[in-house]
Amino acid sequence: MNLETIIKSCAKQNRQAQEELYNLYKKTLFVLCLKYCANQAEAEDNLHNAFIEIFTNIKKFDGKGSFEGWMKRITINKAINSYKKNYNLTPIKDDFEDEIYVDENEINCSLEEMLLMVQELPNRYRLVFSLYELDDYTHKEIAAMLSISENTSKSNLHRAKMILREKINAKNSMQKNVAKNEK
Amino acid sequence: MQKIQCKKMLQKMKNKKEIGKIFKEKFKDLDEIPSDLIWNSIEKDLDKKKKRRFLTFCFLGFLCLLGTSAFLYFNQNETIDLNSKITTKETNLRNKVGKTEFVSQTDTVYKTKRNKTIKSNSTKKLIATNAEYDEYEIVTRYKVYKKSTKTSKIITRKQLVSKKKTTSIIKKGNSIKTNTTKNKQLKNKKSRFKKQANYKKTKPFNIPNQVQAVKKDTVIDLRNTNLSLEKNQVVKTDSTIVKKDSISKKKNLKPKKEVEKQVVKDLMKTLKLYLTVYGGKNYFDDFNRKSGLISGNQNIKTSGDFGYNFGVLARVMISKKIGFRTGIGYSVWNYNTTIQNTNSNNWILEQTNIALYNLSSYDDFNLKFVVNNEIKLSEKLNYYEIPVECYYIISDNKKIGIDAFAGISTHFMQKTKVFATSIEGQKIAIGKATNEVKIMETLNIGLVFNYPITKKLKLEITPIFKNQFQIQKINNDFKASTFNANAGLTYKIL
Repeated sequence: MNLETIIKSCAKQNRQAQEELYNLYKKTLFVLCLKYCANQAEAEDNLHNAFIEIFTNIKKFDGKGSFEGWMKRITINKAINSYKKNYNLTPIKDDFEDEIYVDENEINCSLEEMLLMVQELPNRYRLVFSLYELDDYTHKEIAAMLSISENTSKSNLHRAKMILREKINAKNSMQKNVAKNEK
Repeated sequence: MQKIQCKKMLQKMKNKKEIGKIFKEKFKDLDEIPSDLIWNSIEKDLDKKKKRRFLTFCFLGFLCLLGTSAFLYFNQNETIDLNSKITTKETNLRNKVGKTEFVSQTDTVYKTKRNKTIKSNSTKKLIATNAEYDEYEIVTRYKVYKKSTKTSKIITRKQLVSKKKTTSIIKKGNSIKTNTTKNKQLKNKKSRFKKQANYKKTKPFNIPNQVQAVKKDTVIDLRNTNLSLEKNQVVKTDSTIVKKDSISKKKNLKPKKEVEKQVVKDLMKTLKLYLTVYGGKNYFDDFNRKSGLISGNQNIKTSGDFGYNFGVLARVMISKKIGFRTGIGYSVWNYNTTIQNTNSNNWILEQTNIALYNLSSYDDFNLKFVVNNEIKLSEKLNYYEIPVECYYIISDNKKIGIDAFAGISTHFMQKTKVFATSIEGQKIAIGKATNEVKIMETLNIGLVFNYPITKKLKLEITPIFKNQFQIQKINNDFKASTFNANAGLTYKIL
């Protein structure tokens, strides 16, 4: 079935069309949820809520812009809303670096380990990191979505990167120690 | 050796990449499939929503059916032709009428969401709130225009409203920039206010970009000062702007009006408007056991009876919990009086406050309606109602909310009718009451149990008690009370 016909059928609450749409986009949206949620269970929960919202409001999609982008936006908003209650302001210092560099060759982590590092970030840092680095939102847009200032967004991103770098370094030093002990 | 070390350093620099980009590239290969059970739970939730919608429509349809059937039931025609049964007799009576037909006038008639605890893994090393942060928070939340020549002041509300020439700005960070020269302020006014006008759209606690610095500004470090605001002090966010009076005079601007407009706008945001349509049954009675139809000492029995009412209400909430409502309604009350005739020679209806329709003889009437020396009279009262009530939200639960209200209703009489029950058991209109109060006041008190159907639509069930708060002395100390059970729908307009 054509995507347009699937969308039209979903607007009429056709169950088959809804299932087809779910199967088409479940992977994409689930990966998105994994990057924004703290663990797999919450990611599945978020996916469930996002699809309910998509099917309920599919009539409101006016055809302008990408349908996938519209669905991703809903998914991200659902994740943000679920963590927004616990969102606190953080102190801002002007002396943070914009970019943090790491030696690519020294990163000996698997994909799952890297995903876990992101998921283990505090909610506010993970949301900003995922929005900025993984989905290319600007600080202005992030500030509007999360109801924070641009500087807060920048500082949260900086903190997130600092934590990730520490975790990578800790992982590397652990591996080196293990290698030494084996020798 | 040094060269080798430099080479190694260069190599390291080349291999270094921005950490965000590394994660982004790695996550492109991320390929995870969700559990199959998710679709099942989505399906179930979608089915639930369908059922819910269907049930609400069914319920609304049932309410409409109930309303129309009740309306039709209570407005049945009661015309009975008695020509065949009652013979005419010409006698000298008070009311002389040609035919003896009792014709009753036709009544013109009356996600689920699964709540999981979210644990945030905070690293204590990097996150810490301290006094500096607390002060910063205070500074970023407030924006005050401030006068400065030597010392810095925080302006009170009185000063802002009055025509004093004092304004100043507290900027982001821990510094206050004070404008010492008015001329320079005038020059920079345009650019500054243009920028500030754009900041109206931003949400609170957003810090705008720095305004153009004035050359002779003095910077005061707030780190060691206590920023405790007094009661009269103004709290401003980025969305509000207060202009200097001196500047406003020159440019014919009126800051007072703008402030008033802003206040009105803020007030309009807090106001909420609801519209309610209701209908239901009522039970009308008099606790004094008096009758409006009978004067003097008579052997009477009185009893309340069921009626109905419906109407429209408009409610305005001035705060989250408190509001007022008014509207217009229509009530039909029924009340029964049974007159016992102890003296068979006296005609019972002579002592009543009833204006009878066409009547030939009282004897004929007695023949028709007196059963076991008793006449059962039913009074039907039709009133328009205008309530004015205070409204209070007790509990705003997502499932069932509970509200309370109390107030006064003014009832304007539309018409009355008196019915008598014949020997055959039929209810026949015989006339109207003559001494009923045309305008009546009642005290109302009630509860509202509401169930949200959609975000804007709520189903309400309202038990109400209304009590007439002035005894009708012209009506033999009759004091009306009603118990109403109404059902209705409330729609949120604003």
